[in-house]
Amino acid sequence: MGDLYHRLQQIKEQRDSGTKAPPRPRDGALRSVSPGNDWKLLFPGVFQRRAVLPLSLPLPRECIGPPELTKISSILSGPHEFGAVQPVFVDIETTGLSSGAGTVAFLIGLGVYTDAGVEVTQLYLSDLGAEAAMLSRLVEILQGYTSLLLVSYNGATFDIPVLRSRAIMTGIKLPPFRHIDLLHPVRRLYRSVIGKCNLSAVEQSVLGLYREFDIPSAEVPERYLRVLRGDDPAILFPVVEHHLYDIAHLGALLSHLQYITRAHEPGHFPPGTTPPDPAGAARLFLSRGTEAQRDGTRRWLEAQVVQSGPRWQDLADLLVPVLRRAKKWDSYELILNKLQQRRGELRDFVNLAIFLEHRKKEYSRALQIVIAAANICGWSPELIHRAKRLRNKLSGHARDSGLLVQVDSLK
Amino acid sequence: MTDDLLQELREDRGFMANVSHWKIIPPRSAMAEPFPAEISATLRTALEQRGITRLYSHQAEALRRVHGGEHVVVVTPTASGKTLTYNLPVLDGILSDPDMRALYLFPTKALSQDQQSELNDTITAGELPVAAMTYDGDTPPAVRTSARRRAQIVISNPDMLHTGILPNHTRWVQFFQNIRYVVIDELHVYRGVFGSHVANVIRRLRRIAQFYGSDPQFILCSATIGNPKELAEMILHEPVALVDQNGAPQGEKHLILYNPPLVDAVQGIRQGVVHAAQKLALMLLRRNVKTIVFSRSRQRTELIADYIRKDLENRFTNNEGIRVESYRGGYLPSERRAIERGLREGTIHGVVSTNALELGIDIGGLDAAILGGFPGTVAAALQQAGRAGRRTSRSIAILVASSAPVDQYIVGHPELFLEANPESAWVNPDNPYILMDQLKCAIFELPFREDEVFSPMIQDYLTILEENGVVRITNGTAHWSDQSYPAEHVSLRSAASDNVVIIDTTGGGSSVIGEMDRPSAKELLFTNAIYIHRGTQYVVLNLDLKNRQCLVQESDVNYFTDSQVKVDLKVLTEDDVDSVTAVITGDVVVRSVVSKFKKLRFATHENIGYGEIDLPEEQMHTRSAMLVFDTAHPARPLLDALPGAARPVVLNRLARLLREVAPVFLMCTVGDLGVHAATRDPHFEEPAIFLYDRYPGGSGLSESAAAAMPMLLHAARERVAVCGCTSGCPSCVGPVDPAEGWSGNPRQAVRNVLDQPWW
Repeated sequence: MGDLYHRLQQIKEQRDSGTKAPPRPRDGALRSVSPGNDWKLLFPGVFQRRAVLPLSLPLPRECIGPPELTKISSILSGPHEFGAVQPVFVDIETTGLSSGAGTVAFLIGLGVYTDAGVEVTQLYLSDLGAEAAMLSRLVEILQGYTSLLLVSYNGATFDIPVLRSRAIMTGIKLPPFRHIDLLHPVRRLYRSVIGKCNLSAVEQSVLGLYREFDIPSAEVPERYLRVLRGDDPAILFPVVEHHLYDIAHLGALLSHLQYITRAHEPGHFPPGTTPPDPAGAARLFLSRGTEAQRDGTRRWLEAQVVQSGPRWQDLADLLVPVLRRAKKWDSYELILNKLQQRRGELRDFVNLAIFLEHRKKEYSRALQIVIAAANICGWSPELIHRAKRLRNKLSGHARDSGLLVQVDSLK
Repeated sequence: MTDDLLQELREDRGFMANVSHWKIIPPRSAMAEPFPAEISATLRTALEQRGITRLYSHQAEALRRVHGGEHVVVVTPTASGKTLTYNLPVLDGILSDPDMRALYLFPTKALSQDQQSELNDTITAGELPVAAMTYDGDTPPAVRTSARRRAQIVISNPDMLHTGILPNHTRWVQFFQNIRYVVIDELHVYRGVFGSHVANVIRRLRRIAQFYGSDPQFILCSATIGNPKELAEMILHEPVALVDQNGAPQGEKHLILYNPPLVDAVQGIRQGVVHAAQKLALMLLRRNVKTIVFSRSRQRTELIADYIRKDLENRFTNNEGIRVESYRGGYLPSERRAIERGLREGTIHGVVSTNALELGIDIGGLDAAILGGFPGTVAAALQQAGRAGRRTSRSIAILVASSAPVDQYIVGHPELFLEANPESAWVNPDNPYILMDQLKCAIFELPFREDEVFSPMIQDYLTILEENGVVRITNGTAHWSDQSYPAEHVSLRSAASDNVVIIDTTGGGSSVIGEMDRPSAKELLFTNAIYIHRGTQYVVLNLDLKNRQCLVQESDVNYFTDSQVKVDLKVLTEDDVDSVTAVITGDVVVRSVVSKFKKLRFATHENIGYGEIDLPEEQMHTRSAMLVFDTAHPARPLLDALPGAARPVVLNRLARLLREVAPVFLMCTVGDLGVHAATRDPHFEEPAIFLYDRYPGGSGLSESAAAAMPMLLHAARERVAVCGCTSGCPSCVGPVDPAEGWSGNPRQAVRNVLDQPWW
């Protein structure tokens, strides 16, 4: 704290003596220092580079995105119906990992499919004062696309909010766009298979891709800020390459996901790729798939459960609500019976009892199930309540049908 | 509070013998006027549902001024309907323009919660289409998103505005584009360091609002202080209209000054505040009077509560059916909320508190307030006294004077307490440390143009920031160029970011029982200190400042501890000399070290031993008022006439006495000021006395101390002149201390130096 005090005094004395101008280089001009040879200066402080990277994936040619408009699988787009779109991959690098108005995007990259692979355009901000110019260029590029769909990895929580925030800060209006974040489907499909789902892990374990140059994301801001303070821009080489590959690999990832989500059911993914977690895939297909995919998934789940295939109990838990909603009561009863007999958890007894009571009106069987549950798990308040109601129904039923009644005998 | 009880007190000779003044403030009826015609019928109906059919005169006046476009500060005692002064224009504004936004700032989360429920009551009573939401550290993430978009009234605190809202203003676009009112309640709290930070947060808020094309109007509320308008203008940097004619009704109020009996007239020792407060509280509690006792320190809070509980202890009567709790900072929020609720619901009958309960937290109606010692400032004394009698019922407030000079000064000048003549509050928004921290936050939020009006000399600060590489300046605009999120590292309340966590390890456990700021921890939580928390006594096993933790264990020794701080001071600059008093203000560096502690026996407070403390020294640059006795000084011959051994004693004792009386004139507590005296200061090469600000960089206190020096000297002179002791006592210059190495009469010596006013 004493440092601040002394420094302020020094500056004051220097100013008071009037002999020397303030010691800092107040050149006022924007610094335009290129991060590499292949970059072109667009405006003072803003550079651009274009590069085409091949998509080296063992996928059939037709699955690698065509340069023209693409139909995005509903499994990736969620509830939105996009129609044919132009996917544009987007990724940014920033001056800090926190959000907040002081975090600036100094690298913005956009990628599109071409016949040769993915064409990437990178914009680099070599001085903070040129941000508005860089964003204007971004807007210009985005406006060049019809049916624009931004595709990101973790962009829903980071890249897109930061870009929106920067646009507000600089008074630049972004064109309207739609956006999908591939992180969510990837997590569903692969988390239980590969663990951590950051982009480089997914590249290696799922796509089988490797990078020549890389740098941990956490080190990126520091390198840029060092260059801003006058360090050799060569230290940015791994940063801009990392960024380039992030965008190209986003193209590869979208192709891969488009390819495997063409399957009609989660059990039969194309060979030659790391198979996703079937339960995760089934959940994704059920919530976001086409009608055909949902039907296919239901039939596949039924077969797995009936045959007691791998992890059939987990799959049964997915299947039960689907069958109920679809009112497939025969299958529903079959599955509930199997769960009650083979797994035998309290909820399995209860589900079956509910079904028997409310759907089939078989009060006596339902009561037997409740009593069996109580024998295993003890009389919980819920079971007591259920048994009481079933006894009342049974006695009422008996009365209505004119049968002999001796209600108390059951109590 | 019944007539019988008051009558009984009046006839109690033992009690009355110690009452030096008893003032009755008669009940006052309301001055009200009908709702102005422009208030919407919907809002009027909603208020009528809650029993509000007319406006008190101050509410109506505030509304007129707000509608006239002025910033307004309303000064009101507790329970005078101050919330309506801002809710009325805000709710009315929203009803006519649903896009309008308002920000409410309260100094604590508890007060925000109170306000939220108050607003909810009005909104539901009238089924008003208004969304009021609390946005603070306790708000869950899902609610935050909706608060940002939907809330028309956002209720928060300055800390959240500082760390959460302003740095993320791009998520609040709609809010900032439409912000029309900013309400700052409990304005008087924003003084000193906290106020200096908040003044800068307001600078930042207005900067951001301006970016979005808004220029909000401010409605401020303050408790009674000497300079509410001035304080408001220092914080807003703009003219503010003052509304201070209270139109609310008030119940009859009894203000009593109670000076406990002298135990030892020669040494001037009085019955301690702890015992007197305890006795009075018991007397009231046993007569079914709901009572709050305020005490000066956390330690005394625990002691008084403990003594009262021990007196009531009786398992057959369930402690006479009376429940008494202690309340202070350092308790967990859940503990505090439970006590507040108990008081409101009447399950707790008495509470002993530090000034933590001084603020307007709703604890329902209490009948009596006992102030265990003058709380440091007259404004605080009035606030504490106001805790009794929030309703229109009769209430009683008793100020128990301690032996401290300031307390005895008040006994001699009861008008200070009884006639409501409180001190002025000050801020220093341009404190270099505060300004530097706040400037970083401002640049992070929005690139900073070098010609922006923020504070004088701002270019020098930008130069330093650029040197450090955290900003990059191009074309006259400074851009934030650092990875960090500066607000995260800046606490608006001093040192709160490096709090020490107190961990109870009794029986091999480890549970957090509280926390404390670092400088206080050095004085209260040193290894082997006795620390009292909610009536339980702990011994400190280890204070680990590096890891900010303090391990304690339950203990049952029969003493408590009191640390001694040694100070060394060096003058750096002389910036200003008062033309009348020749008091110099300037920069100093203060080094302090806590080296020793005393062990004091419970109940008798007798000294039963010493211990060593091994902690690193604190070093601080700050501002100081300096009283230099150079050869031309009129008091110099008087000093020179003293024997050599007496000079340091006199200077030290005079310095301490000046500090002790300062709170009556400056809005500070004794703890905000440090003092130092030297018979030959190395810088001036003369005898000198220093009154320095204990906050790094200064919070405006040393400048006010320099200006008030004649009054301080006058009060000091009066104390040594009228004190009842013979050779010094805690009420004037302190008792004779053989350790000082001079066996003379210190009171007489100080009196000699002050005999002829030379100020």
